[in-house]
Amino acid sequence: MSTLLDHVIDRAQALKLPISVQFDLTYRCNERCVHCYLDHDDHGELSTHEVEDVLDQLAAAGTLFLIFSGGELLLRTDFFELLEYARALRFDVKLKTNALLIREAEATRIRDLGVRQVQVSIYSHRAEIHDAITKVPGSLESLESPPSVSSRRRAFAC
Amino acid sequence: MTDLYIARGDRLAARTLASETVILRPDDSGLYVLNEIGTILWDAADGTTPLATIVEQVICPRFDVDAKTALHDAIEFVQGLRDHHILNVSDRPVTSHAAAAPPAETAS
Repeated sequence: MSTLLDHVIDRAQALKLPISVQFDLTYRCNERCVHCYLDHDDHGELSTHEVEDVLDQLAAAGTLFLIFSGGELLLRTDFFELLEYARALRFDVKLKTNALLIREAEATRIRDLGVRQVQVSIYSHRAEIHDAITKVPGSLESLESPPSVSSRRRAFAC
Repeated sequence: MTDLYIARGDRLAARTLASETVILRPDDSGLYVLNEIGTILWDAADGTTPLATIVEQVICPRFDVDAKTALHDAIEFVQGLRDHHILNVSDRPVTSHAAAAPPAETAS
């Protein structure tokens, strides 16, 4: 894949197209990671329509690889609406999330919408370390607790 | 010969960059790049226009090729894309939502 991917990237660069874009949908987050470059405060965010308008522009500009990040994406109540919109525009979508709000139903919907990658940050297998970084007691356990992990694993498996 | 109808795969990510179309399958990260003629077929794959019509009305006027040869090559090509789950190929019109929608806008 790398050779063909290199060709795509070279082609996009030659055409001066933004082939890959990270779109931070919100400042809000339900963790307080010590290393995060955001202050986690609510500075306001684009409306659903405004995000969709940007996505239209990105599709027209030639963006293929789209990373949805934040903040924590799933704090947006319109997250799945935006994801569905992005997939209808045939973006290749990757999500960066802490997964605290992803249970079986959300994982199934993410899979069914054709998201290619989901990146979840786990800072340690030791809860005291992970939780010290996220500043949210129980955050690792929340990811590991049944049925969430097993159901997420089943839902994401294609 | 029976008419063939072609429709773009529902779940694919895709973008047309100038005359090439980049396609990604989300389920296995399969990456494909269609050339100019492949891009013409992808753009025209609305599920309702017969392949023979696409060849006759879009490909033949643009390339120095007779309709019979072009259709033979196009059938071989779309069957290859079908095998890679890029196109749905049917002997009757395909009415899926994604097939009916226009392709994502083209960057040039």
